[in-house]
Amino acid sequence: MPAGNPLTHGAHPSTVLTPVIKYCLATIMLLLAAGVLGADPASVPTDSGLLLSPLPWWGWVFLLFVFTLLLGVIAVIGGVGGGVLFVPIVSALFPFHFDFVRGAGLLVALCGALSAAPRLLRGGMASIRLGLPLALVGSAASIGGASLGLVLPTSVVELLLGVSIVAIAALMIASPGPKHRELRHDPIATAIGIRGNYHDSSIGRRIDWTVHRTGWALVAYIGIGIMGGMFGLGAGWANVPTMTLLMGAPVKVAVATSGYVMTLNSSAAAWVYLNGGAVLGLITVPSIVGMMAGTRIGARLLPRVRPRVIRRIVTVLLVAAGLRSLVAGILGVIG
Amino acid sequence: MSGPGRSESLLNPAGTTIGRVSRTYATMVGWLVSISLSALVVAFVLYASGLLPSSLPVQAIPDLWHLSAAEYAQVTNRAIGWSWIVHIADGRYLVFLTLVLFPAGTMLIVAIASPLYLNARAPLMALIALLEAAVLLFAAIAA
Repeated sequence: MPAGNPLTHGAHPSTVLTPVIKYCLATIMLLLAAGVLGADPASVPTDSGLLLSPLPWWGWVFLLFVFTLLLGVIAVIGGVGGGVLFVPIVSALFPFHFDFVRGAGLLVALCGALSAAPRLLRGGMASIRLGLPLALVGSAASIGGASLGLVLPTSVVELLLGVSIVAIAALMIASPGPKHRELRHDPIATAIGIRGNYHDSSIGRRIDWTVHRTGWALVAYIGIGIMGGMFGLGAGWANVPTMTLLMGAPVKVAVATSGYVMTLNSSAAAWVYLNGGAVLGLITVPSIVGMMAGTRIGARLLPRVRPRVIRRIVTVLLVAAGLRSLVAGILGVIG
Repeated sequence: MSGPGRSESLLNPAGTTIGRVSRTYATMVGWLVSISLSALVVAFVLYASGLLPSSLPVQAIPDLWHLSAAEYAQVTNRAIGWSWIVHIADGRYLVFLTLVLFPAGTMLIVAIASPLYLNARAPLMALIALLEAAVLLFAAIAA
């Protein structure tokens, strides 16, 4: 009889890993609840108006690195972009101004997407012909969104972020799975040459694909770009639903191309935050490194956990983070 | 203009076509990430360890990061826009420079993709890539 841990011996890896990830998510939710109830993340006010930090700088850097590493793992397993989790949760749990959290969020989204792009482009999954026209509209709109976000009062942006995050969570719950539909002729897709093929290893054959309703998708990217830039979310939350449900692209192509679109949309909005002085190295660097390490770990864990369960918990987490932003925004507007 | 042309696409062992532009683009992004990430970590270590002099010690930042970007810039005399470029020997601006490499490199790669598409007989994609590079350039210098 081989020796081993009696708790894990003979258990499927997913039955061990899923509770661990659930525990981590539950801890984040408890902290978020504390944020909703008004507990300040951590700072001591002084007579001069400055806030004295209870931790040395390296303590914050370490905390932020560990936290974003965990977020990176959850983002991959939950199938959501890192930016959409980073901004509402970090703004709830850390004592940074919302401007710096949004600036860091965009650079985190940009770096994560850039690091994944080479593999996806070489593998033939990500399509520049599909992504570039959408990114052109989205990145132009995200400049406007980011500029607006830095001008509007913080409480208003936080209120709008809360509404948007709750709406995104609702979209995740309510959206139907992509169904195979006959695609209508699309002159824009034909003119640009949006079509391609990839090898689907799950069924062992080549899939040829194209898209339709490209005009409507370009219109949708005006709104996606504005929101991504204003809230520092990137566009990961909206790319896949738009490409699959609206344009009829295969899910695998949409997921891969989403990362490519994010590299351009986040770049455009990031310039606004960089030029506006809303990027702090002490916040952004550990966040980038933590998120990149976390997404790599998440990709390795992915085959061993139950993504459906984790995705449900991520949705609840988003609702909690959205409600916190909503409450903070309302309190800021009325008070 | 229609789809990936013969000169743009290659047949890979799986029987699928991957554009030459996509492969070149992927190689350039790979270089960008490797160079920028290495520079970012080195600059951050130099700044945080105090090996590189800085006009704002890293220890002071946790007492200031609750301020808005505008207030922070005023209190710390932070250079806004591109005026930081003359201060890159200052630790905090060297870290900033390495962060700028990511969007700047992305802009350069899209600009390079434009002539690659033209060469691949895809003028519409070449135009879209050029317009995207122009949008990013506008964001970098005017936004």
